[in-house]
Amino acid sequence: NSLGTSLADSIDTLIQRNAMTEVAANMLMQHFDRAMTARLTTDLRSTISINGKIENYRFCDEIWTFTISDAIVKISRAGGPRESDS
Amino acid sequence: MSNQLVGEVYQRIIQDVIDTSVIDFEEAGVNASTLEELKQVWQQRLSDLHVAHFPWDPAPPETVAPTPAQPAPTSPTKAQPQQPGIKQEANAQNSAGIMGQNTGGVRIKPEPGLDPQGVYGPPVTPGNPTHNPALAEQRARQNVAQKINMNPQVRPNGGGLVLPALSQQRQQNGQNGIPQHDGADDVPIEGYGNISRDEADRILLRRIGAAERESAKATEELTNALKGLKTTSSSKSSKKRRPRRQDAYEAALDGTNSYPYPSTLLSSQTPRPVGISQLDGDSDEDIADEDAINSDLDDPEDDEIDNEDEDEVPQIMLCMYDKVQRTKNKWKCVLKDGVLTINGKEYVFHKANGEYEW
Repeated sequence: NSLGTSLADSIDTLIQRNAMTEVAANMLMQHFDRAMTARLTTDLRSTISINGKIENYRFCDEIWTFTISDAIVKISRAGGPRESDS
Repeated sequence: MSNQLVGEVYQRIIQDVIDTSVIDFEEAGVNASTLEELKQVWQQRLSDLHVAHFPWDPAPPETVAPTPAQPAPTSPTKAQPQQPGIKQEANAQNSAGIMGQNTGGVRIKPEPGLDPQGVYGPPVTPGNPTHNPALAEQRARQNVAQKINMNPQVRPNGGGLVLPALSQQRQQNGQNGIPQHDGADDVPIEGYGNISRDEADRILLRRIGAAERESAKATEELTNALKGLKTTSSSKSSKKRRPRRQDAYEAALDGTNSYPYPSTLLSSQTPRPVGISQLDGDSDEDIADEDAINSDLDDPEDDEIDNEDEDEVPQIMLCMYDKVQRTKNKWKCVLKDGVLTINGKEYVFHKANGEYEW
C-alpha cells in the first residue's frame, strides 16, 4: 500500500537525520494502522467487482490470499468497466 | 472515481495519523516541528508515486475541487537526496583516483628512501613526487651516483636494502615472507633445498621480479587492449615506450645498467607518471566497463521478471473479507473496505464482489 510504504520511508528518512527516535517511529506506525482501518471503514461509498481465474489460494492466520490472473475489475462509480491482466 | 476519492481519503488519513501522534510525540520528547516535517516528506513521497492526484499537489485536476493545498517543498527535498548521492559518487571516484596515484607513489617512494646515506632526509609526501619529474630526475641521478660509488657493496646489501621495499610493495599481495627469513642462515627454498641466505635472497628477488614483470605485462596488455577498443594511435605509441622502461628497482638489480641508467630513466620519466595515471584511469574504466557489462546482464533479467504495466509495485488489493465460499471450482468472495493498486493507480472501495474460477 503506497500510503504505508511512503510513511515508512519518511520515518526512515527522519531517523537517518536523527530527527526522530525508533520508539516514536513505532508509535507512528501503530497510529497509522488504526487510522487507516478506521478511515477505510467509514467515508467510502464505491463498490467494485472482480472476475478472474485463480492461480492459487491460501488461508493462513485468518488471512485469505488469492493470486488472480486475467482479472476484470469493475468500479461502480463513473469510471466504468476496466480490464487488467496479470 | 474512487481514484479521485483516494486523494481526499489519504489526506484525511494523514491528518488523523498526525493528530493522534502529536500527543505521543510530546510525551516522547520529540519536537512537534519534526511531525510537521514528517508530514511534508510523506506527502512528497506520495506525490512522487503518482498513484493518485492528491489535494496538496500544485496542479489541480479536471473535476476534483482542491482542498486547502499545502505547499510541498519539491525542490529542496528532491535536491537533498540527489546531492548526497552525487557527492558519494564524486567521493568514490576521487578516492579511486587518489588510491591509484598513491599506489604509484608508494612504488617509487621506497627506492629513494633506501639511500643509506640519508640524502633525501625527511620522508616525501605521498603522491607528489611521482608527478614532479624534476625531483625524480634528481633522485635518479643521486641514486645512480651512489650505486656507482658503492657498486661492489650494493649487491648483497642491496638485497637486504631492497627487502623492506619489497615487503612494502608486496604487503598488499600477501607475499611477505622475506623479512621472516632474517636471522636464519640456511633457508629452505622450493626446488633448491637448504642454501645460504644470500643466495636465497637472490633467488627470491629474481622470482619476485619475474612475477612483477609478468603482472606488469598482463596489465599492460589489458590496458592496451582496452585502449585498442577506443583509440589506435595513442596505444601504439605507449606500447613502444613501455618495453624500454625499467623500474628503478629492476635497474638496481640489473648489473648491466650503469651510465645508460640515468638516460633511460630520464627519457622515461615523463611517460612514467602519465603511464601510471593512464593505468589508473584504465582501471577506473575497467570498473566502469565491468559495471556496464553487469548492467547489460541485469537488464534481460529485469525484463523477464517485469511483465506488468506499472513501475515497481505489484497489482494488489488489501481489504477485509465478509465471506469466502467455494462450490467445486467456483469461488465467491464478499469483501469490504479496501484499497486496490492497479497499473500504478490506487482505488479505494467500500464493498467488493469477487467470482473466480480455479
